[in-house]
Amino acid sequence: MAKEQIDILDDVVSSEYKYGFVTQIEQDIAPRGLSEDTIRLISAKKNEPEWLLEWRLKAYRQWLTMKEPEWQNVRYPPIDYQAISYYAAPKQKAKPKSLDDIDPELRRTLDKLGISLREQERITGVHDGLTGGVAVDFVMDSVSVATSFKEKLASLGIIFCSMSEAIHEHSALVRRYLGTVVPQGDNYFAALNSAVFSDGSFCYIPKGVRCPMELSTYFRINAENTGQFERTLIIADEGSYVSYLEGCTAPMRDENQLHAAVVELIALDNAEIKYSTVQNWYPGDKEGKGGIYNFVTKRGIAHAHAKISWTQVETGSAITWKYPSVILKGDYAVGEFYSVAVTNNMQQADTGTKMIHIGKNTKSRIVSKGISAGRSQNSYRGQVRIGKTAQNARNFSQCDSLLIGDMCGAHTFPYIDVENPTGIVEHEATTSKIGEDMLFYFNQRGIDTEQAIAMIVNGYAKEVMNQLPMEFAVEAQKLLAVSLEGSVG
Amino acid sequence: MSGVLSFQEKLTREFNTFEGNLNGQAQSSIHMLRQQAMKRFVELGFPTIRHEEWRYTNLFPVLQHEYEIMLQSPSQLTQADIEPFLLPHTDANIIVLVNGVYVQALSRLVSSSDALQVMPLAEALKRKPMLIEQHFARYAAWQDDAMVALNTAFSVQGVYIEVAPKAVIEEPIHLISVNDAQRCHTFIPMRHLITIGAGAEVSIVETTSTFCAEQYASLTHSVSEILLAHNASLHLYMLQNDREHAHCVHNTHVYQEAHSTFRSIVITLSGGLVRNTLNTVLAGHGADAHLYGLYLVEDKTLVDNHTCVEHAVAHCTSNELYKGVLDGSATGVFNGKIIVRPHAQKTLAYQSNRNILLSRAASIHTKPQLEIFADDVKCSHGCTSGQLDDEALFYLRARGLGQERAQALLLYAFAGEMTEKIDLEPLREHVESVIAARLHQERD
Repeated sequence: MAKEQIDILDDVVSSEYKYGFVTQIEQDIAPRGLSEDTIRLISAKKNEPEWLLEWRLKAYRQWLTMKEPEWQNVRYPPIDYQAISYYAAPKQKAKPKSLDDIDPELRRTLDKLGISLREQERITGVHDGLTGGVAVDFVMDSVSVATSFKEKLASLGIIFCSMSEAIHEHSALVRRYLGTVVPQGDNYFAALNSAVFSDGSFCYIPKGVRCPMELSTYFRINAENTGQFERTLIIADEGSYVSYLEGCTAPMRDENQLHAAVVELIALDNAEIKYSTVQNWYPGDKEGKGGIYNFVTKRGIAHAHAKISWTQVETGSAITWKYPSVILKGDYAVGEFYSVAVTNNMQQADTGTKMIHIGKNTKSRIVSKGISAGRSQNSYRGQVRIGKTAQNARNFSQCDSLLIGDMCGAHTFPYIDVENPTGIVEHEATTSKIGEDMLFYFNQRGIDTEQAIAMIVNGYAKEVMNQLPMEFAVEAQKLLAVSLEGSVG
Repeated sequence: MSGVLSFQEKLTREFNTFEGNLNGQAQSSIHMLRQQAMKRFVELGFPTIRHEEWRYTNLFPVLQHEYEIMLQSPSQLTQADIEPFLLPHTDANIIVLVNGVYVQALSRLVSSSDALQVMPLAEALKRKPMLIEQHFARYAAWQDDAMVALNTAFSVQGVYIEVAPKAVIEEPIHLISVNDAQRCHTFIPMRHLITIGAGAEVSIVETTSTFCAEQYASLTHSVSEILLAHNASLHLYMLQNDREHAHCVHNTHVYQEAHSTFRSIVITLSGGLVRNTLNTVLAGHGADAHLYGLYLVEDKTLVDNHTCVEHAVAHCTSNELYKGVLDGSATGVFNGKIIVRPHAQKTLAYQSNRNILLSRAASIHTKPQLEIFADDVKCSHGCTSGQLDDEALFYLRARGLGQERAQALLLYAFAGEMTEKIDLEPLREHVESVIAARLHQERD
């Protein structure tokens, strides 16, 4: 490769993560360590009802008996759960009237994250009542800071608010559905989350309502030595529709931070939930120092004729470990999973999905595109299970891996369990690198290698990108190009 | 559970007795190895379904029986007993093992002794100490696998087969294992070591058959280590068509040097619990591996094929295709692993697993797995599970074939893709006729 090209690459590499700033906001941080007292403290701070405290304690006791899983294809030093602070909240005064009342640091944060002024107004709750656009819930260090568009949504009967607010104002709904998809003892990290979750988003779409705008949550870890444990619960009542977006960033730090979230989706009969994630947590530096451990449990349950679709673009985190899954419980339910996972430098990703077919005539589709570069390891792990009762179930899975550079790894671990003869399951996977001939074709036409790779990768991931809502698609495409810059050579 | 523990204790006791009878050999390097392996087995214990490699194959019900451990105790079978297991019209080298012991009187070698040498493994290890240093327990790693550790500890019976360099052996080698479980539950450990010299060519057919009374079960536990020196070629056929109480755990570990060719076809038609582990390491440039398999089972048979193709160096190719038809309450398990080590560039690896489920009680668990650490490679895998194509069925029915005949014809064709890969004419005929009889399909 030409020398100048290498120089350009070096430039790009050194300017990789642009969200790595820290916001100097006054924080309310719980002391480090985890015990029943910590949980009581969190619960008290949030003024929670008794049943929730009990629920948390039950989860905690279960967590104590569980062992940290080891089966995943990622390596990391043991986590000291007593060195983490389980609660951090930006201190905020009374409700803001105009943008000037907002903590200027918080506003700067939103600026840096590229959230427009107009949207900032919405997020910070200043200017409600605009039509169209995106309703955003901004969660910093596990506490929801602001939610926009509430009134407009409320007029349709849609509830979109922070989890802590929901616990107080929509207690019956929360109590009925919380933990029904991901029970407290589901796995090690879900149990931990159930015990200490501090906030998250809550969303309820009433019967027959089509949510007129994208609902969005922006997660950001800000404080040092904290873990982020948010919990999202989305309930789409019969015949409703909602599209939900999630974005994540974190500051650059030398030590690793833990993010263990739980997302539960419930799609009742004929409902549809579309859940999109652009995950861009800080991935650590080139040597693998620092970065977020993203250990997340995401699962949805689809009742009769319902549809749940997960779309994810994973570019960040030192370690990604998550399997957004769908339980196809009702007849004719549909589950979809579209994923692009990019790993560069020392990143590790073990991600995929589970499609559990229980209802008759259920269908699922999995499209996973893994791209590994640098010295990263990228694994797809998925399960498709056709139960005895799932007559005429249908699944199609495709997992492709693209390798860039000879130091990285791409792995596939699909589990396929079929217990019903009428089920049809197809799985295919390929692994390859970007062909010399493709690059030559681009070069020949005056497009340099760097750009060519970005174009090829974007083309490769197109099937998934097409599933993203407009607002996200553009961002995700850029993110993909940035993540891979500096990987050619 | 208690049955398994008592079996484990029995194995330990038996091992100690066996040690006591060694007469000064207890300090030999081979026996030191056995002791280490036994220690390791006791540490690991029999694999449970919590073990990733045994997730769907529960050995415990099979281990409940009160097995007699067969060590150096062949039963009195005659030539007439062996006759039905021979392949018709073949001029083959026949190696007969009764309860794991090589019985020379029943065996017959037709190839020249310059080209082919066969002897009991124990004798070979005594006569050729270099075998222990260079080959024995080098390819089948016992440190992490309880079953291989157990087999290494009891590695006293089985055969050593040596094919001389450049020897092209026209007559196939037929390795017949006959188990006698007529008087008690029998557990038969067997260990084979096969070295194929540079540039040599050979075909090996392995069959296992059990004489057993209804109430007795047998468990055959064999580990074969095969070395293919450079340019060597081996066609390995395994035909498993045994009784429903005949369980087996087979491990085959192949090590391929440069430009060697390995081709295997594993056919399972019946049995109790059938577990085949087939691993090959492509350790030299230009090595080539073809792994094929067919399982066509019904009743309560559980057939588990675990394969692992390890591309350790650059410029190797591998191709794998396993097909299965599951009827009754049969269970199929397929786990195909392809590992491409760092620097194993220009690797080509393909893998495919296709299944047809015929009944509501049958199930299939498949896990094709790729682990790739090099970038300039082309690897793919695919797997499917489904039923017969409705349109194909309709086509045949529109031409006057009944539902059952049409289905049989399509299944026969599905299996045909595998059977036609068998190069040994008599074996192919035999397999095809067994499959045809099973499907009530007339052969053309």
